[in-house]
Amino acid sequence: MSKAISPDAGRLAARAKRGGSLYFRLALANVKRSREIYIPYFLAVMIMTAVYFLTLAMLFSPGLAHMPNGETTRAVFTMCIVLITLFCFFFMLYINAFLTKRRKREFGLYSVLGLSNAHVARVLGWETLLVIAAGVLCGMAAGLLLGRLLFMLLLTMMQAAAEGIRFIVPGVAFFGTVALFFIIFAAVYVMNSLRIRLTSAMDMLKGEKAGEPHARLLAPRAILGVALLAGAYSLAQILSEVTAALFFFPLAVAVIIATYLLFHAGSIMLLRVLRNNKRVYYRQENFVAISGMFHRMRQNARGLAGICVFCTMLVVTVACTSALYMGAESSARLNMPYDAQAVLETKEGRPADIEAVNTLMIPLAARHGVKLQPATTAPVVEVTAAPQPYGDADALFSDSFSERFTIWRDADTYFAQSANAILLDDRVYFNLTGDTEKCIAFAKALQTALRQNGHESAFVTTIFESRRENYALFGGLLFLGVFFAVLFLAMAVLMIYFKQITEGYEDRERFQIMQKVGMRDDEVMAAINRQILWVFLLPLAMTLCHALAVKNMLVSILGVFGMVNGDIALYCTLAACFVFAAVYLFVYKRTAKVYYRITKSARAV
Amino acid sequence: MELLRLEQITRIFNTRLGLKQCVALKNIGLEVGQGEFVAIMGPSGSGKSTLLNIIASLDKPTSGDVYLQGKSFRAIKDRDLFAFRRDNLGFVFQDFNLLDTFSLRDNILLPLVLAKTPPAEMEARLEPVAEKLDITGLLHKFPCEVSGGERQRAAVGRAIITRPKLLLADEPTGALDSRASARLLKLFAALNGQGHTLLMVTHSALAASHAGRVLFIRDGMIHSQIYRGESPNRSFYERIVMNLSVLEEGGERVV
Ligand SMILES: Nc1ncnc2c1ncn2[C@@H]1O[C@H](COP(=O)(O)OP(=O)(O)OP(=O)(O)O)[C@@H](O)[C@H]1O
Ligand SMILES: [Mg+2]
Repeated sequence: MSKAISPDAGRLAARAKRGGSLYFRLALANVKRSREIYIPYFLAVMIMTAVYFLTLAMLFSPGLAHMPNGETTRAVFTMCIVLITLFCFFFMLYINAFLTKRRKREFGLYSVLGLSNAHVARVLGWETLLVIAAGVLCGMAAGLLLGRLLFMLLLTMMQAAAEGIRFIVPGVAFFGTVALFFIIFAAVYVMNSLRIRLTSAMDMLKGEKAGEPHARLLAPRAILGVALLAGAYSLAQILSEVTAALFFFPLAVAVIIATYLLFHAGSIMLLRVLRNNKRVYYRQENFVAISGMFHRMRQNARGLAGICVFCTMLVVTVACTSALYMGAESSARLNMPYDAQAVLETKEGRPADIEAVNTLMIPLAARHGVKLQPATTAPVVEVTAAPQPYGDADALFSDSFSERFTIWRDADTYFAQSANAILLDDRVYFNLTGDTEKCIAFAKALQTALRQNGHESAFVTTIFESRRENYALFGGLLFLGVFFAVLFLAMAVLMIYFKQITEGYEDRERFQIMQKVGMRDDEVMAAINRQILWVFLLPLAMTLCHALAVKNMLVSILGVFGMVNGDIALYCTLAACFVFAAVYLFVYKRTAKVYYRITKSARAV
Repeated sequence: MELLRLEQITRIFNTRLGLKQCVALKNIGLEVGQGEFVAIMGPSGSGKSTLLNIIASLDKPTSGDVYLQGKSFRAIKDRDLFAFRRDNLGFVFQDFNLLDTFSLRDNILLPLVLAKTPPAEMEARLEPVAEKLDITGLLHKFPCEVSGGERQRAAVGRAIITRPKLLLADEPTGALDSRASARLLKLFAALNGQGHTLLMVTHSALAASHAGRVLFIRDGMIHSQIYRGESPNRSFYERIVMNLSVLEEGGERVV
């Protein structure tokens, strides 16, 4: 520890006993001096504010109600608000505890200088208020900026025109954010005051040290973790579309609990086994790493499990929403083997006259500026006389995997073909190319024309309409997915960042000692690398494992949305995993720098 | 036989921005024979820790050189310094410097692990050391679970398990009460009896009276030194106290 308190602070402390505004000045001086802790603290507050603010703004934005599936979206956002609120609250308490632990000595010194515990609490209160207020202000500014950006992204994804829609932040977002962080500040203040009041100067001057973990029932807990995870994984493989949605929540809870149990009990068990193996343990490259991890896992199992859970949610959300978006076309095709179909009214089973329809269509198409495609070109149609699998004679079976459509018909089905269309009993199928709006207008016109020409209840539908609906729906969902991915990522990054800082400070002293005992600089480096790499690879590996294990279940759930192309879901999951791993490693690299910087002073002798 | 020789050691610290220079050690020359027990005393800020750190190769002199068994420190490459320190020097610090994530056993074994000693030999070496230090029953405990005296004995264990040529201690009794101190000093004397060479910085005349020679430092220079000779602890203690008072008053050398 370089200098516990600056001489200036000491002088101010002496005067603070008398004047009130001096508390503020002392606090300001402290914030400046302890910036190595307060900068991350500030960043954390800022990120959390931005995330919370944005989510609130989305939830209460007037546009949300007009979105397709607005109600579902609102429910999802409400759930997320609850989640984020809890996260912000507990995370702030966590980093606050970290901060006060780091500065325990300093507070002890203040007491020695003659500031009462109540005074110290007041100074600390000012400090936190300053940092939190600054963080909230900057966070809301960042939120506004980010919100604008995300909004533009949303419009692009939904393939919607931007006329008349503007990004408006409802006042309740400002109010709610400030309220939450005020409550958090109050809680932090009360906690700190209690903590300072309850500890004597003696206790504060002493640091706390690590020891052997006293975790009991490790083996049963580890076994329970493995069993839970195995059960959840295998259940995820066998669930059908209906049951998957039903079991989703309990399964998620089981996976979360299992993750924690495995990270905690499981890793400690494993490390114990390793430690008891003298050949493995007493090797230079393992010695420091195993004992360091042992200590670390006991402390950080919860944090690592948290990182893993957030990351899994991130990957799953991105995989699902991107799969839906990518599959928008194939899910539109599902009920539309051809671009358009007209259901005609037939009289007593008499087949419709395809040539009559054809002569109606051709001039109409020309007038609307759309082109009729020869019906037999893509998608390929096979007309077979094989016994058809469905009840309807004219059932069209689309096989979206191969983009081939097979028309099953038996002997009773009437089939006819013209240059532009095919006919099955009373249905005419044809392909169209042209501008979306023009095609839809053409379909409308054709319907009217058909109704005027003897088919009073004719009904024309096109893939262009379902495509438009799909992109609105799935684009909205993808936007939500990206939004939540950013959100989960922010939380995971915050947790990772603070882990690096906490551990950096803890390890600094350890590395100093090791160097005095005769560990070479590069050996210390290697030990550091091995240790933090393992600790950070663990959540990543577990996340990928979770994501791939529930992949089948995701496909089932996506089926509910009309998404039948399992390949797309698989590729999206893999892509999401891949991208996530890259981002994670990048974040790890960046934050590891913080760790290296903190421990550097120890390494340079 | 000579083990350690210091030649013209000067250490100058550049204080903030290099505006002011602080001469911590001035032209120190010293020889320590094999099997000696030397105590170093002097007022606060006189340069004792600086001297010990230089002998420990943790710090480098501005000029002059240190020789261990005739081998110059300056001739050792920075890369090899760690291994050199590990193999030749043992350390005991005032605040123990034990690693809180290791049990006492692992703390003691740490230098051996760093030196890639096979596990079987580690065990063989640990047993007599633990016995000597009387901490056999505590080996499985962690530093936070044992008393200060026990921690310091474990630190001594870590220092001697590599069988160093020279054992260095900077105020090893500084954080201990009188009973624990007495016990540690007895241990040092016993180690010295078994042939270990010891160099100990201390503020306590009582602690110094266990040594065979006491070196007094003031203002970065060796002020005086006294040898025990044949005298028992008690009378040596009185001579040390006398010498200390002379040192405090800034009087002339007494040899
Ligand atoms: N890293 C440093 N930078 C600048 N000056 C230093 C540094 N280390 C020591 N000094 C100065 O060198 C002088 C000797 O310091 P040293 O720590 O050796 O004293 P000491 O005899 O061990 O004192 P004490 O008995 O209080 O431990 C002191 O004046 C000190 O201010
Ligand atoms: Mg000193």
